[in-house]
Amino acid sequence: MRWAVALAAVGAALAPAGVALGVPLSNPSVHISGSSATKSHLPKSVAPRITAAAWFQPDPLCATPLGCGAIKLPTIDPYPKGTYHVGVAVGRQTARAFLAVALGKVAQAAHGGTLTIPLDTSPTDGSLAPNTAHINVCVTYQAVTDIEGSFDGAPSANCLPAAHATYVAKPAPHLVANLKRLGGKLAGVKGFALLPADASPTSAWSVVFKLPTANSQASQLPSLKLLVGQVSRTTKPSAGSGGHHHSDSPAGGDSSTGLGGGSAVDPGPSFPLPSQSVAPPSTQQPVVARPTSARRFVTVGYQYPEIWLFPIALILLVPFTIRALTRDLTRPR
Amino acid sequence: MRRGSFHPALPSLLAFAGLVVAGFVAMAIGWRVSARTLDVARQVPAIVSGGVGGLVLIVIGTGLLVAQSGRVRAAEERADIDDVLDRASEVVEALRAGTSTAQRGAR
Repeated sequence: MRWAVALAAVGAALAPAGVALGVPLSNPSVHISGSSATKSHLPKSVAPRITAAAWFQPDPLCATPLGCGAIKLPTIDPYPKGTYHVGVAVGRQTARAFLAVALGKVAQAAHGGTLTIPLDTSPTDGSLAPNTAHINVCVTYQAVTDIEGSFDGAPSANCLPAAHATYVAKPAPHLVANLKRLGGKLAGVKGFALLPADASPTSAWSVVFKLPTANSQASQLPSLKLLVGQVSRTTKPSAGSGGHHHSDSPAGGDSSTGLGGGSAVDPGPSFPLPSQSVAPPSTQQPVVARPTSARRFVTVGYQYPEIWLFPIALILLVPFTIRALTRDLTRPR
Repeated sequence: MRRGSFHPALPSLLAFAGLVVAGFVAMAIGWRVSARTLDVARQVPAIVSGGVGGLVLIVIGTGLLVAQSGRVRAAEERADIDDVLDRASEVVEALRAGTSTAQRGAR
């Protein structure tokens, strides 16, 4: 009995400690975001080529004390060849994808743009509730090669800042990311990382996309449009302001996507709020940059809820310690 | 196994030693987590949880281990003293018995 109590106490002390350690908060507990509206002046649109794609699965060893990459695991791709995946299951990332792009000097100076990724919604290809996906688009400065489903070798992604990709159902399901937040950060970029942004422990989704093949239609392929040109804080827009912009934004400026249609007005935080209006200015008066003082507090839980076992273990340990320090230790004869 | 064949302090000593080991494991895991990423937002919680938490476990475990070891030594000293007193008592009894026998023989 005593041995059992002792072993239980040691186990209770060890287990939560191990759990507690690898538990950095999956996201900072509070996001405060805000942005200022800007108006671009005579931008041009360039369309860099997406040259390759890759997707990676998290190394299962990362969740163990052995650590990531302790043992080289063979690549296991449960999905059809040529499909690329980004997904989350029970709040944990199951897949992340990368797109390799060839950015010229002009493109590297872009101050905004749009990344459009048509989706494959076939469940047999691994698609699951793509309309609930929350994906951040980050940049990577490492080369991206065509890899499918590997557990290691993923390029590191720089998500400061990140753009948010939004699901658009019509005319065909696709993701759209306004890259304005990445403007000025594209020098030396070799690709974009598509990372799950959702930390909800109940979320489960997976989006699938494909790369060009011989019989692909242009509308089915990921495309990148970057805006290059001067940017000024104050400018006089033309009516509708449609003439200065690329025509690849969602028609009509679907506010649900967080994109301003043909407008270059910043849609606001990369996590658009439903109540925010991003309608383009339609007056002839000069538009001064308006800081949208939207602040959003996002409450996220612990990545591993088992952390609550830690105080419980401490509560159990206290009476055991008191008993151990007060009992008679004379060896029975 | 006969009950009481091991020292009564053994479970608690093992538990407290387990706290110390848990502290070192915590520090190792914290180091490992923070070393495998450049994301400061992940490094800081790992260092705080692993480093500070591990240090606290080590300090508490060591303190309890030292205190319990002192109590074990004190208990053993008491047991030894009791042993000596018992033996002295037996010697006194034996001496008394021997003296009584000698007196009866002299009569």
